[in-house]
Amino acid sequence: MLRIENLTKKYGDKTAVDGLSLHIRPGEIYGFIGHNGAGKTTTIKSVCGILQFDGGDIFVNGVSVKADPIACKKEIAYIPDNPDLYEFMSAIKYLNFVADIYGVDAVTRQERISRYAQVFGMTADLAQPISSYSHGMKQKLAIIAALVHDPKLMIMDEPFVGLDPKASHDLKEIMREKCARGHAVFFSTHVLEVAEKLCDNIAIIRGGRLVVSGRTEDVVGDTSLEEVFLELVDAEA
Amino acid sequence: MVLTLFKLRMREFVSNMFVSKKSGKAMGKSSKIAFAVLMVFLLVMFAGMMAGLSVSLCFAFGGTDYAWLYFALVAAMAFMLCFIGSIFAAMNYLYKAKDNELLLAMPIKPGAILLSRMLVLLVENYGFAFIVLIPAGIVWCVMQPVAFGGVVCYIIATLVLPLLALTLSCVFGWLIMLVSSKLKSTKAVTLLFAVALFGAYMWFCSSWVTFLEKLIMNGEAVAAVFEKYLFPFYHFGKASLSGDFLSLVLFLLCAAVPFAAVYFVLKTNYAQIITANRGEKKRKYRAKAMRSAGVRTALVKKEIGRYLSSPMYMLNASAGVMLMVIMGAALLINRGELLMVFEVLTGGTDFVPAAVSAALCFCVSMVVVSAPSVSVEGKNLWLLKSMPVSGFDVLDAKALCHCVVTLPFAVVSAILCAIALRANIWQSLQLFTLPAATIIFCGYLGVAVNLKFPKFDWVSEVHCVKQSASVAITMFGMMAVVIVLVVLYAAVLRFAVSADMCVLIYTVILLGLGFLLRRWLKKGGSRIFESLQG
Repeated sequence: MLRIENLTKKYGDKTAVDGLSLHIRPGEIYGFIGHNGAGKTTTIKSVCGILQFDGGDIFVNGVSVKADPIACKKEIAYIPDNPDLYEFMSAIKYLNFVADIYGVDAVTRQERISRYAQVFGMTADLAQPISSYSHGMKQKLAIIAALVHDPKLMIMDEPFVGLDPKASHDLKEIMREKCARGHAVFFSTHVLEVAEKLCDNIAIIRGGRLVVSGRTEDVVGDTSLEEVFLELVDAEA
Repeated sequence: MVLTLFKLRMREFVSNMFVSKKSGKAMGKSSKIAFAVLMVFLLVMFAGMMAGLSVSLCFAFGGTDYAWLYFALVAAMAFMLCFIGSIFAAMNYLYKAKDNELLLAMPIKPGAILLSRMLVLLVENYGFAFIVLIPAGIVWCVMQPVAFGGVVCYIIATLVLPLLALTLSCVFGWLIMLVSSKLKSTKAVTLLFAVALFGAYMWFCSSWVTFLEKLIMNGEAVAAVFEKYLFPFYHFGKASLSGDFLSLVLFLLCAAVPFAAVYFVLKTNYAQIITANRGEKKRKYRAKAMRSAGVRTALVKKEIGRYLSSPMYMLNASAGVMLMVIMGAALLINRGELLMVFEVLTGGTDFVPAAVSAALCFCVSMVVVSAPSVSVEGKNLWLLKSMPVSGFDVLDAKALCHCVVTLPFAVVSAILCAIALRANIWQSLQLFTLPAATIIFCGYLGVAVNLKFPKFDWVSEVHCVKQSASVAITMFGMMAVVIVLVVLYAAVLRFAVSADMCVLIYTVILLGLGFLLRRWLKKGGSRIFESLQG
């Protein structure tokens, strides 16, 4: 579903991501872990076509992000860590706009918006301007918008930040349900317990380089993800 | 602390003007020179206008018993310019700035935040005041005998006058925000108020000759009104004319006491004002059948939605639209007089439709809806970049939005002008086609310029709509294009082609340029857009 090959991204002289390679298969929930400034967001933004990268390539369903970014973006949904949405729109107008961009027909969008708004308890607030929303509500709206076109690959940067416990639970359910249908989820998080419980695979990066990746049980072994993470980070330091 | 915050604001202001957001590097030498030339051109233009007005006033009141009225009137004009120029900036900058809450969370007194912001507005007001008062002072010195004490008082009073305007702007800015937030159509109220101010300003500009005649004829009565009701300006005038120390002190008190009072009241309630939830009435969602639209339609609708959502954006980017309609209406109402003016200027009735068309184009050059359209994306830029749309689709939608919101007014003004001129079909078409071609060219030019000069780190939208290089370059660039085309015809082409043919040629040229810019957006522009980072 997503193949990252030797991804390198520099900001001036600083190399933010250095030769990173990952492979996320259909049906997998893939956790991406690293300390602040490790290169997680840069990697995610490169995958989503927001950032142009300097080396390597990224393939979504076999299509290169460099060669055909639009085809790749059609398969992806991206949820950033800080959802700055169009505050001049109401939530329903924003969802309609997103559905138009992804070419979702009227009946399907109505059904999906209605379903996910119900799940996240947002139905009554859909007519409100986004400017009146709290951070959590914006996050929920960004999630609903991401689900409107039923993406094959969901890419999320710290998706649980700002969500209440019920919304977090609902999002995890949705992630599992999507993977059961052969879709894939790639997300970054600092909440290691969540990653350990939720993810099929885990990758840990440090200083832009991949430290370890593999099936969660293989990475964690007999210890906990927290211990593994701290051990790897300390060892590298 | 106030000084630190003030320095921060000024650094932000300078960085907005001279530092590239793409590279973080300072503006190149050639760009700085171009910018300086533009600023000098602007200053000379406005100062020249004000000097002309001052000469008329000086002739009228110099040497009379109420010569002080000259200074009182220029002070009143400077005051109005400061007030109109800063009222919406005050509303957005003092009460709606994005970083207000961030600053409140720091160990900074709310009063310091307020004062630092007021100082920035004061600096802006100095710009407005100096444009009026420096030429007025020079004109008086050249044309009338000068008292040393008067000059000193004039300089001191000039430095204090912007404070008076700032006080009123702060109060009105707060009142507009308060009133509009209580009403259902917040944006409509703000827009209505802004249009009313703009209308009053235009009315004054268009009828200042009549206004001046009336002033001169009723000088004594006007002087009495100033003495009785507009006493700050009366004292400004008295002090500036003869160096009357008591009048200077009274004027300083008139400016300082209200400022201190307003500052004290705002300071006490500032945290409450800027964090107040103005309680928009909750709108309950009722599911309705949804309709789908194509990608381009969705993008254009989004652009129009953003434009219509901000009265400040609408007003500042579309002043030319109002001018076009006002011009059409004025031509219809004062047909005889204005036609005579056009005939005198162009040397015959045959040229009038083409001349009116050129005048409409000049108005169009002041419409810069697309010029800040990339910058206003700000922190939302990630949305468009993560969506499956090409950079060209995004940029084209911005230019199309410019055309969609401007062309209907071009139609209305062309119809009004056609009726006023009793134009035939060909002439009527001229009145629309040339402005329409200018609109299309301007739309694409604005997007192209904004791609080269984007500004994403704005604290208030006002910074990219009012104070950005892309808006200034597009507006003055378009004005220069229109002036060059008119001069080219008057100096060269009129010997070779008719005015009608020239309009046709210019229409084709402008459309061609617009087409070329659109092609550039497809490749080069799109590449730049992909590399932008909000």
